[in-house]
Amino acid sequence: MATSKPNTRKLKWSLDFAHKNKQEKSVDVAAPPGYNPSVALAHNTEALRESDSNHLIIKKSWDLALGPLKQVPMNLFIMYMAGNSISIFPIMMVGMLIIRPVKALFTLQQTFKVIEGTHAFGQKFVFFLGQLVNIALALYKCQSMGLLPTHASDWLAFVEPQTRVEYGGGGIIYV
Amino acid sequence: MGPFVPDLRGKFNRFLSDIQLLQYLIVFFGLFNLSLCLYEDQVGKFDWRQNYVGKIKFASFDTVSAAKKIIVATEENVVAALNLKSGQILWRRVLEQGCAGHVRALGGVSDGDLITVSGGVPAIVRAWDLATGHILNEWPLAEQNPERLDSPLISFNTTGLYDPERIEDVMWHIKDGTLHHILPTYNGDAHKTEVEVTSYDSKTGEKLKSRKIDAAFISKESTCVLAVPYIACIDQPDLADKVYIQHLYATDSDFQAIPVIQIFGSETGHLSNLESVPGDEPVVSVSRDNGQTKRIIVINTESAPIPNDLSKDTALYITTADEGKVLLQTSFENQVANVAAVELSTFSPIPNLSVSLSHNSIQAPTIVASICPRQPKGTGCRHLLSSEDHSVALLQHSRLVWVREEALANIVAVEMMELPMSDREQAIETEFDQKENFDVDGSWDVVSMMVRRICSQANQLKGLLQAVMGFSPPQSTQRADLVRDEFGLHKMIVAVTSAGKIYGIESKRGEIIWQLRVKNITGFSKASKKMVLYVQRGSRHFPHPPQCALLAADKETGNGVIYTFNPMTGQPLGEVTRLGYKIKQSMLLHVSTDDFLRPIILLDTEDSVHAFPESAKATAASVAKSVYIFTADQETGVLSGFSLAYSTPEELIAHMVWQVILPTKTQQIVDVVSKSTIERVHSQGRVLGDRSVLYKYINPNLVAIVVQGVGSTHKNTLTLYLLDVVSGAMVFSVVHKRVRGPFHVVHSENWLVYSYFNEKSRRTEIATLELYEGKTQSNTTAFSSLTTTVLPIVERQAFIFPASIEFLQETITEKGITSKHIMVALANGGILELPWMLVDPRRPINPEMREEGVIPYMPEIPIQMDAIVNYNQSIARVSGIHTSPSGLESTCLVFVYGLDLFYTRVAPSKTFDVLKEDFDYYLITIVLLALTVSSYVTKKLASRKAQKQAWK
Amino acid sequence: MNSPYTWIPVLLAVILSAVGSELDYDGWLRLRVWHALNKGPMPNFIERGNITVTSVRSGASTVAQAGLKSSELDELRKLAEDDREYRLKASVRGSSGTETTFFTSVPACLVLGSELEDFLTVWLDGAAEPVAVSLSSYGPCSREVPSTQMWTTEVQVRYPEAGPVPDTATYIQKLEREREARERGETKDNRSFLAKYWMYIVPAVIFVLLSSATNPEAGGAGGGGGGAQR
Repeated sequence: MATSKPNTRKLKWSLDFAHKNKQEKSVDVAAPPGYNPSVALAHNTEALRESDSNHLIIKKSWDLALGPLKQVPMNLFIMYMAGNSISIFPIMMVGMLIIRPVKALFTLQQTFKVIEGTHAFGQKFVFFLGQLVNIALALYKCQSMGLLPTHASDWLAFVEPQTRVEYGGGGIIYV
Repeated sequence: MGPFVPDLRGKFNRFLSDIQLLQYLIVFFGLFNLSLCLYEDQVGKFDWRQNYVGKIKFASFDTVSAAKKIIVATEENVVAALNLKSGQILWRRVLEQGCAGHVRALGGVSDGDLITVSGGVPAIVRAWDLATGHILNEWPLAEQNPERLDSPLISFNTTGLYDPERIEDVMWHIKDGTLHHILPTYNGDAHKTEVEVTSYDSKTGEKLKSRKIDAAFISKESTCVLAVPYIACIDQPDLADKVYIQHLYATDSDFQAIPVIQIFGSETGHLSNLESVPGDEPVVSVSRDNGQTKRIIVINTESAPIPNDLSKDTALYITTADEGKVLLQTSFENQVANVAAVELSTFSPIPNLSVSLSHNSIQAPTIVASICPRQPKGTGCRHLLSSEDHSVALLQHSRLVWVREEALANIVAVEMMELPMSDREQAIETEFDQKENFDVDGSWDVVSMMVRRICSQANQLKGLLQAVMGFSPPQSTQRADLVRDEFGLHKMIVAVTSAGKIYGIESKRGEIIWQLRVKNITGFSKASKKMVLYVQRGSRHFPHPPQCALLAADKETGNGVIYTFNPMTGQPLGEVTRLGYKIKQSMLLHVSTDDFLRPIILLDTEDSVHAFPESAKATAASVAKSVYIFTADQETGVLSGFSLAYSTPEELIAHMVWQVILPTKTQQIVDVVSKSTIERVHSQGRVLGDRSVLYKYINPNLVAIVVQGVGSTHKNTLTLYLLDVVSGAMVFSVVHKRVRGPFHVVHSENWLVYSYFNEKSRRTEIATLELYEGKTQSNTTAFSSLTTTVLPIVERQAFIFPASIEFLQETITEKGITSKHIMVALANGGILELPWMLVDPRRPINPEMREEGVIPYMPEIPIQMDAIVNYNQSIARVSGIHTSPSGLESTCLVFVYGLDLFYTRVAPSKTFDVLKEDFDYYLITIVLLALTVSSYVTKKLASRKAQKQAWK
Repeated sequence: MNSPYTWIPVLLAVILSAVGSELDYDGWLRLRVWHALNKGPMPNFIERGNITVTSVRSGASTVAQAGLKSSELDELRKLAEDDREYRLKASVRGSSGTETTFFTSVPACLVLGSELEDFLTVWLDGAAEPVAVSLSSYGPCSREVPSTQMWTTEVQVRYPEAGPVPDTATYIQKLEREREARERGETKDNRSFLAKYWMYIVPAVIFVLLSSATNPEAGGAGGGGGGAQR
């Protein structure tokens, strides 16, 4: 709190997501990226700010929603380069490919906290879909690397031994 | 830039495939080190070896050399020198196995050199260095005498040697560096009956002279014994009335004839059982009409019978003491052995040379060598005793110096048993046991349980206090070290020997804990000496004692004998059960009675079934529907399977359900190999390269019948039949042509490994068969031989093995998770631990078809020297290997027996479930502590730094 | 006689797997088959039929056997109810003329469950002598009287397969191939280091030259340093 005020004074393009200033408390929504209340006040053009920020919000939130889908080609390239052999780097890559979308899905609500408006549901859905596509890609990669337990051999260790029904004994006669 | 990316990708892929190849190479070379070899300081830590010589045949005191010792030659074809003081083996030479190595004569020790005659035709004469046991000279005695062509008895065979049967009639005498070959011959024509004495220089084999002595008294039925320098004969035993004696070296002497009246003082009766009395004087003993008494004749120019009756069972020996000849009479009564010494000529007793002693290991002894040197204190004798139970003992001045348990050179059956719990654990067990009883009664008496708990804990406290205060702990029935250890590595080895003696050997150091002898028992058949040992109750059923049962045959009648004993203490449990029938086959049931005793099912020669103990009949009948027993007759080639399904709790009935006949005209059953009954298979299938599963065909009732071809056309063939003994269905058969024995077979899980000698390529080969059900399992939960009709897929492969094999056995572990190794006893005395992976029939010839953990095919199996588990401790003449699981899944206990005993433990998949012996506990503790402390310190430091930063 | 006691010849040619045929010559087999439908430990055999295997190598056979009477079917059902086995005795006469008698059995319920369909397998040894006859039936286990009274019997003849021999020839060939490959590889790679890697070395040298040309001071300093050291 103490440090933020001198910062806003010193730097024109400084943003503070971590702390809310007193004047921002009335606003429910977090400031969009690039928005500086002090700068906006200096211009003092309310109407322009309103439409511009709306536009910016929608644009930014669509960017956010489409992010996962944009990652797909990159992921495809990474997967192609990683090859199908099982060694430390491909495994790490595949691990990242899986973990990132899953994490993103879990933090979906937090990510879209800032987004509001008519497109919110669609954006959420697109974001969700994009992450699913990423997960599917990663799973496909796992499958092609043979990491998924889809074969009978993967469950062999859990197959119980057959129980014995009949008991036979004997051998060469003694006499 | 366009082509760069695929190029990079190609390189990247190649790099990865190179890495893959490297991984395979690492795995491949890693396999060779799979069997962890010992470090030098581990020698003798997990293993022990004991050397034996076998039952003494000839013995002689070596008084000539600087180091006094005893030279022995044994029934096991061994020539050895024993330390006089300790009985340890100074040197030992193992001769050829079987008839070719039988020691026929031993002599010349008093002259400073050792001469042995061994083998049949040709007999081999060897001169040994007394001090080291090295062979000095060796020459074959292949008698070739053209005159023999005329002899009807001595027929020339194709090799120009005399009839091998006649070797038993040859008598040998070694004296003053000369070997005398003495052969009485009977030509049918009384006038031409003679004794042929051929003398050779024992060192060089040079024929010195050959002479024939007329011996008209010898007839076809004559029994002759050598009493150097005389030969003594009686006519047909039980009809003879005279003892004929002929000097062998005096040229012009005539034979003496001693009639019955002169020996026994009365005219009646006939002579029987002429025996030579060993020792320093030509003396023979003779008995009358198989009577209880016998008399001796001292042979001289005027032979004199001594008119004193001796007991039939008395063993005789003549030794020299104080210039006089002494007759030693050894008798055994009520577990006490008596050696009575008498003056030979006068029969006056010599009390100071007479001994009487009682020892557990001395049973019906005979003196095999005796010497009475003159000493300042007076004359004292040393006797080497050989007992009926094969043990060897040295008596010196009427004192027992040492005993060797030579029966252990001939083990016929082995079991390894878990040791019982310690007394304290047993007390806890008792407490819980009683608690359970309370549960059953439904009367939860909290107070009494509380009292019991307090009592038991007070007892424990008392014990602890006593131990701390230094009071002697209360006398325990068990030895402190003979209790179950944490990992079940310490076990009791129960070994049954052909002499009818049973030993309990603890496995850590090989110490004999107990021994007992069952009288009048023998192996079921003369050839195999087979006895069967069953563990009826393990040591986990406190308070019931563990129980083993030994099945053998009665020495006289051949009827079955069952002897039950406690394998931990060697105490008999009940009387010896002498059955009224001969046992044909037997099996141990898989269920147990209420007192945890597993009954034995016995099949007698009339194909009727008995249960042992009798009281277990109802238990047996309750499972009879699923019990099958089969017999294989080697003589008729008939294999029959019996079901007990018609049994009632009152009577067990076997009825035949199948019969297979292997025609004896063309083949003979050599062996029938079943799987280990305690085996468990963990993995049900095998993963293929395409990640599908090939399911194993694990039929617990499958046996392998090893059949050797007989007759001119089918000789040198080996046929292996795999037979399901429950349904009687053949599963597979394979034939090898131009191969011969010895055949060794290991049958385990879903595979067979067998070895044979390839006649064509003149090498030992190992072949393997592996059985698979296919890509699907017909029944995933249970295996029934009767409903499984699909024949398995059989994979097979053969390998060259660059050594001769004496025995094969597979390792076994408790849960069957650990991979299997095959213990191979090599003829050179090594025990090789051969990973089964190396004889895997699915080893691909084409390296592209690679599966996980499969090595590419190589026709020859390499023998890695670090896979020899007994390093430099050679094991002579291995007759069996017993493997037993330990409490650790990774570890298998191996007991090798034969002439020597060897015990060790192996870890086929390395010890994955225990930390290494040299694991640094201190280091890891220190590192952990240091890390914890340093993390706290750095936390403090970091917070201080952050504070400082904040104040900046 | 109202029971369907008729002889029905069934011709079944069983194609054997020709892998590892170890039979030196062909021959024929004549089987006489009896069965026991009674309960009790002692079987009471009655005749079931005759089977002729005309060629042991191909396994071609002629089966002639009577169907079961309804009373016999009932007996069989009783056996199945008690979980007893249906026993069979087969007397086999081969080309050599010797006659051998074998016993075999199968749980009666399996025979009923498979509608009286059974498999008779004759195992021969290397000398084409019969060593075993075994009866099997796929089942499933059933205790009902089947719809048919006729046997459907398939005869199979099996003989020992050839044992494996160490495959040294392929292995030696493989080694030869590897050696050749190595030799070829050696001749190809026999060039000098420069000849092999010039395409990497030349750009590197050019790069170094170019960089030193653009920065003559550094190059001069390096050269000077080298001179000073000498």
